[in-house]
Amino acid sequence: MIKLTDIVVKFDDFEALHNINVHVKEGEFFTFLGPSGCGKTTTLRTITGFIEPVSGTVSMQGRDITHVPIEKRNIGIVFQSYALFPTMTVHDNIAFGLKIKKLPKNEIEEKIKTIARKVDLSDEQLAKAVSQLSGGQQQRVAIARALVTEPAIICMDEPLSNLDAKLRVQLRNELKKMQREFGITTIYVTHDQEEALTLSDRIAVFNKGYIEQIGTPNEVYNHSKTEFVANFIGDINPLGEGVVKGLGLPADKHHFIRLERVRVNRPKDDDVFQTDGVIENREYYGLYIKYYINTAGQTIKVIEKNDGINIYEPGEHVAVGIHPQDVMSY
Amino acid sequence: MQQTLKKKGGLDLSLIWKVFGGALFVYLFLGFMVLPCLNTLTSIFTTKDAAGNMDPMAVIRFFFAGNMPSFVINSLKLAVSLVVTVNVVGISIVLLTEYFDIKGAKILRLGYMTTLIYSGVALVTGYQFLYDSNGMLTQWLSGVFPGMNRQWFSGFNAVLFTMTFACTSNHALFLRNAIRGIDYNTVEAARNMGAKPFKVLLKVVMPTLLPTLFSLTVMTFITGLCAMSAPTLLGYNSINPEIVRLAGSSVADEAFPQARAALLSIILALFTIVLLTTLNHYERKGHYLSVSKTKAKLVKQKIQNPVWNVVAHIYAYVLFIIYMTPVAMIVLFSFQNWPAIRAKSLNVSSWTLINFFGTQDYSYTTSRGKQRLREGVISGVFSNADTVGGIRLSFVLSR
Repeated sequence: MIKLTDIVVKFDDFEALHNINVHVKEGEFFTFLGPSGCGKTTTLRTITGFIEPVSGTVSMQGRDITHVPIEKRNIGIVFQSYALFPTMTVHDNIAFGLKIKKLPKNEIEEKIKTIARKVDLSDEQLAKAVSQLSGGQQQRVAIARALVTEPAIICMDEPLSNLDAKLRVQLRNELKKMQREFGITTIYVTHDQEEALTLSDRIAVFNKGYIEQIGTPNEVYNHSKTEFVANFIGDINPLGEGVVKGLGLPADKHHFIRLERVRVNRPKDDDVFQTDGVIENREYYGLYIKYYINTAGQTIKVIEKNDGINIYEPGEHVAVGIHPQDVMSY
Repeated sequence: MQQTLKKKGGLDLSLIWKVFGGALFVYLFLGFMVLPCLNTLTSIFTTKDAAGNMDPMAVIRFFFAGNMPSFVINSLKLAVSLVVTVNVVGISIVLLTEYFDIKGAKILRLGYMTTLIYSGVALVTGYQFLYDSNGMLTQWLSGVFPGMNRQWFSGFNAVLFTMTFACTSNHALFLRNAIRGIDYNTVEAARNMGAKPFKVLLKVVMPTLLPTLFSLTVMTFITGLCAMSAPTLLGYNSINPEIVRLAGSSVADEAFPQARAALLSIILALFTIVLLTTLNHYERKGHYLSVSKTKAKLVKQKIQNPVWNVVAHIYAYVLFIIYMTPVAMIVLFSFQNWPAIRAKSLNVSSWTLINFFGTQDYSYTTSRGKQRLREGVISGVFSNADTVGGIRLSFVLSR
């Protein structure tokens, strides 16, 4: 569907993207994930045509579109700011792209009605000025505006980042539902790992202008290819000398374990390295509890499901177990 | 604290303050606003005719006396024309320096902002060094075309030309800020939906600027209506110079000059009140609020068509020359001595820094025919320091 081959982007002397290679499949929800300044938005803007690469090609449905003007790419965009036209009503915002394409008036109205129904915008809301809508409604308008012209793909640049936490989770689910309903290929940019893991079919993890790993949410989380990916997605414990020796792991590598993989007061399996620890601190999150345990000369963070029974107090002695297969080594 | 202030010796201090404040307000309102207007109106409607009889209908005759309607029509003509020309030039200079990618935009901006640093009189004087009957350009042109009218730079066209460039200061300040407030993502969104650059400018950028443009239009209209220095210096019969002339005139010279001046003032005030009320009403309807929480900074748009790109560059630099002419003329003539300045001819041999810093006193004849002496040290140094300070200010503003 969309293929980036050896894309290099430079801003004066600064190389922002180094040989980026991505292949987004038809109907896929593909996420560019990474910290600020890692190149994810630059990659998106290269796809949409706002940035022209120094070298490499962007192709869509087998056609090279590297030098095709923005307006001829047939790509819908939802901006972080939504970029709604403040001087127009919701209706006119959605109609803008259709009017530019010079579609007949009745066809424009028909398309607006259809898309408004799909994104849950009422006739009353269509007549309002965009400034009269809430953040969530504005986001729906932005999505409707991007989809109404029936683009081949839709690109979303952190569309949820301006919303409060609760609305973000609600709209995240709606976004995924809409994407499935429309079946449209979606490229989504975010720095929020949770958003990426819950929404995506596949994720590309960016770091300093490189792609560190491309994979399904399970692959990037459970089988992180690099130390950066393991560290950026979820939380990890770097393992100290005591644990590494106990597990018999090679000393020339860095070893990590995810918080939920550390076993506390569980029956000892044969392969498990088990040692004594003391609860240093406890953070209560309701659904789970986070413990800081001093063991084998280091502090290890552990997440335990809150079952209401096995809740440990600071100062309490516990048995800490680590299975070698849960350790990620780089 | 409130409590202690309120009750002291049985007197309510806050009440005393309220009464005092109210009385002061009533005095100021009546003394400076209502009574002068009432006096003026009374003087108009109680004017006595030659036979000494009071004639309330005199006001109508005043209006048609001394060709008064022509002053009103001339002022309206100037105001309406200015609205068009100032908006065209004002929008142009802002788009050329803030929206389009024009080479040397920073220098251009500096040039376009020079009107912020000097008065209308200085501007007209600057242009007159070049275009006046004995101005440099006129002298050169009359050498080439001996039969040409040496007074060509006078009247309506000259006033319109001068004021057009003098009145774009507000555009340079306010429209510039408005255009900088646009979320660039809206421009990108429109481009992404297939709009060509000109369409984006017309449908997305310009509508966002409309509230600011409306305010600027009203301000320009009022400026045109109340124009003083340019019509006086360039000879155009508009309301304000006539008011000043009538106010200084005596009954012996012409009939009821003060009453006619007052009537013209009231006409001017009525226009201003109507316009400001319209502006106020429009502003209450609210500006277009950007809905963007995270605005992207506007990126200058390169004009893709090479022909239009060249045309835009030529237009930008022609405007720059027009804007810089008065400044350049004033600076160049500052090096000359007083007689050379009066003659409006550049004479490099007479150029000295002493002239520039104005350490020589000079005598001149006032409009009333009196001989006066101007102390060069003070006037020269201060006026040039003002110019340099102003240029520095526009450097700061242009960043």
